[in-house]
Amino acid sequence: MDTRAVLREYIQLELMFDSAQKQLSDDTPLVSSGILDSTNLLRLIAFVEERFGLTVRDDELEFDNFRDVSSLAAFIDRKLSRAT
Amino acid sequence: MEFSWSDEHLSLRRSVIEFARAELNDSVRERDRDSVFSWNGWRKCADFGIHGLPIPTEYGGLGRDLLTTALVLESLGYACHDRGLVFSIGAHLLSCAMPLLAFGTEEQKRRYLPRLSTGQTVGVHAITEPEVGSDAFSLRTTAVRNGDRYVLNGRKTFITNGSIADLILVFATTARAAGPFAVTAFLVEKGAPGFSVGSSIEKMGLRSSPMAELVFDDCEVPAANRLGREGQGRIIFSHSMELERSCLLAADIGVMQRQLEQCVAYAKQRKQFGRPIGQFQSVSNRIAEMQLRLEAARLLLYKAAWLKSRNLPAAAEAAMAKLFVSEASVQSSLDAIRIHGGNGYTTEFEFERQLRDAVGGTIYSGTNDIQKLIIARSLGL
Repeated sequence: MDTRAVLREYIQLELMFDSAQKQLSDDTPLVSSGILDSTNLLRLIAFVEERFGLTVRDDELEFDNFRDVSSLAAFIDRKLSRAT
Repeated sequence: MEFSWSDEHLSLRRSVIEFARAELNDSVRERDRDSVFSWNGWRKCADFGIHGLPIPTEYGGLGRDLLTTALVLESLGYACHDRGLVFSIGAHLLSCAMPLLAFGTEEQKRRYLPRLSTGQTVGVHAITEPEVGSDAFSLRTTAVRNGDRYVLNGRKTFITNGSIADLILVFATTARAAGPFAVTAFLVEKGAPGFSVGSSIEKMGLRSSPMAELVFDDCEVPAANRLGREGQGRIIFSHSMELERSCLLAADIGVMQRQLEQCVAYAKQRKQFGRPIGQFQSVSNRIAEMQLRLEAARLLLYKAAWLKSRNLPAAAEAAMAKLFVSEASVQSSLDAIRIHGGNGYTTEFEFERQLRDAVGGTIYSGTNDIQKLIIARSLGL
């Protein structure tokens, strides 16, 4: 599974449809680009938990884990590898 | 599944109702008209124990659970006609004292909770800004670390109890570029250098509950007054919002109960065309719908409060409770006005004030549009 591709698809389809940000790459900053606002962050967390079968703990909700698609994918992959 | 209250709960409810009827209903219309806060009512409620109800006894409270707290707020709503006073007390308790209890250090709890529990310190929750409402985590108030202090700069608005605040739970960002991840909570005391109260805000309803802007102009806060970790503000805010949504509108349940009883009594005694108006279906149907809405609102709210009292997840339940109770409260007030006809339109019968008070419930604690978003998200949408 290509975690980055899964994340890009979700973010582009669900979180960017009315966003000023039109292009998404793996290193597009999710917060400063306006993609991750108060409600989109909650939606993204819910998606990650359901799609990847994870629980994102409060102490894992750090900027470095959600900086961009690459960072988030690395975070998810680390949790998945620890789970197996 | 158990749907009944214990004898102890019922006794407490009776006590609160008797207390509120006897002590809290002087000059309510005048205080609403003139936007005057009842310090007398505040102190009496504090002496009765309401301000410290869910705070542990070791911090000066009564150590009761959130379900009991909701019941007390409902009872106050039923018997105290000053909805603004009850709202101010609820905000103080649920949005300032309770987050402090959940996230504070032992030193912070021992320093502030006893005085919050007795009402000597008025607690306030400050996140909304002139440019930031529903998108709460895009706030612009900054907090810059400088040695053993933080320096806050920004402006908050629509702050309940703002003009009488002694302790402000304020949210600021330690790094704007990090958005929600840098939102951090601080406890600011009234006398902090650089803190001031701005303009008072006159409102449509809840007029006896003070509301004001708060200004932080190079406001210095000891690092020891940060609540939780840097970046934990989002979690603290979400925690307080779930508490508000689960418990704060319990008072509206009480108001709706009182409205229903008044409408039933009026429909039985008011005669038109030779008979009580309650015998006309348009009136009896409306009252039946009031009853139905009230019972549904009660069940939704107490389920959410029950979950919170057990520290169980309740984001969707709290959102549903807040959404339904607030909309029901508006409709109940409209129905009460209609049933009473011309009388219902006067200030004397108080339904018009209750309607104005109820509208606020569709906005505070997150607008009802946001509640629908939370509910939809819980369904995977």
